[in-house]
Amino acid sequence: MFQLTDQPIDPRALCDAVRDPAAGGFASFEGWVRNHHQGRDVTSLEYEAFPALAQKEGNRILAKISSQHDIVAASCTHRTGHLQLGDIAICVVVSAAHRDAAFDACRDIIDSIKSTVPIWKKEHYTDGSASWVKCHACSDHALHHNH
Amino acid sequence: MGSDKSELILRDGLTQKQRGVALLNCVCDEVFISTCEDAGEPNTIADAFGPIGPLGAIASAQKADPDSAWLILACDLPLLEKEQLEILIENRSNSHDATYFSSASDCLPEPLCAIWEPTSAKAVQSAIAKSKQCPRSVLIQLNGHALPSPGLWPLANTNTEADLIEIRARLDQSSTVKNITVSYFAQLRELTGTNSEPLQTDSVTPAGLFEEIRAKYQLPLKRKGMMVAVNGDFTDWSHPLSEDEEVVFIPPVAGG
Repeated sequence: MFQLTDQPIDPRALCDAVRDPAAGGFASFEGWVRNHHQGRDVTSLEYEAFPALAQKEGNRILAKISSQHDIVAASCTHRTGHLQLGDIAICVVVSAAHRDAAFDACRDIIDSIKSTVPIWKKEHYTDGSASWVKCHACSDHALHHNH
Repeated sequence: MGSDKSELILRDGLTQKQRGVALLNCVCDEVFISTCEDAGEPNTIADAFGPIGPLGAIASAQKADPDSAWLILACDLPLLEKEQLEILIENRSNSHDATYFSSASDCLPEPLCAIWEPTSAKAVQSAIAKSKQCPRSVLIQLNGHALPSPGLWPLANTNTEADLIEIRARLDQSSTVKNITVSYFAQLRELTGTNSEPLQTDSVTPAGLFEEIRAKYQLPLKRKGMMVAVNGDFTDWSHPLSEDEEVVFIPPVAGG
C-alpha cells in the first residue's frame, strides 16, 4: 500500500507491515534529506503532493511492480511538509521469498514513484533562497506517459 | 506530429502553405517559400545552411536578398488573419532590426510572424555560426520593435494533436463556454497565488486551457514535459473538456 503522511516516517513499522512467514528476505530504500544538490548547500526540503492522484498512482505502481516480481508484499510511505536534513522523505519496503526479487522490486518501485507520482519538492538554501526542483529525467518520461 | 504541417488543409480549402502565401500576397511585393532542397521551382528559397529549421530559412532569405526587409511567416498559423499582417507592416520600424508581436503567454518576441530588417542579418549569421538555432533568442538580442500581442489564438500553431483539435474548434466555431475548476499545487500554486479557481473557458482541451492560464499568469512553464489530470486521474492533453470538470496541471514531478 502507498501512503502519504505529514508525520515522521517509522521504517520499523513499515518493515513489520510486510513481515510474513513466507518471506525469507527483506529489502528497503529510504530517501533522506541531504545538505547539497547540484553544487548548492541545502538546509531543508518542502514536499507537496496532489494527494488524491499521488495516492492512486502510488498504489498503481505498487500493484504493477508486485505483479512483475515474485515478492510477498510491498509498501511505500512518502512524507509531505517541511523536512529537515536527515529526515526520511520516502521509505520503500519489500519482502520476498528470495533476495533477488526483493532488491529488484524495491529498485523499480522507487524509480517509478520518482518519475510519475505527483509530488514536488522545494529546496531551501543556506543563502535564504528557495526553488522548486525540476526533474528533467521525469519530464522526458512525461512525454511518453500513457495512462 | 510526424506529418508535414504545411500540407494540412484547415480552412478555405487551402493547405496551410497555400493560405500563408495567399495572406502574404495581400501585403507583400513578392512572396517566397522556404524549402529544404532546391527543386528549381520559382519563388522558392532552398535552405543554404542545412536542415537547421526556421533560423536557417531566415538566413537563406537574407542571403538571397540582403537589401530587403523580410516578413517571415510560419506556415502553421491557421488562425492568423490578414489584419495582423497589416498591423505588423503599418507599425514597422526600419530604425530597428526587427518588428514583431510580443507573445501572449510570456511577452517574448514572436519570431515567425515578424519583419526582419537587413540589419538583423549579422546576428542571424553569428547565431548559426555558433550552432544556435533559435530565432527567438536572436530577436531577444536585437534592437527590436515590439508590438502588443494580438492575443493568444492568432499566433497559435499546430505542433501537437491537441493544438489541432483546439484550432479546428475555433475555426468551425464548435466550442462552447464551459465552467471548469482548476486546482494548483506546489510551484503552480505559488505562481498563481491560489489553490483552486473556477474558470470559464471556450477551450476544448486541457492544452488550450493551459495556454489561457499561462497567458493569464505569465507562467514560465511550457506544456512539453508536463502532465495533466482531469477529475483526479491522468489524461491526454487532447481530452475533450466538459462542463464542471476538475483540471490539475502537473509540472515535472520530483518526489523521493
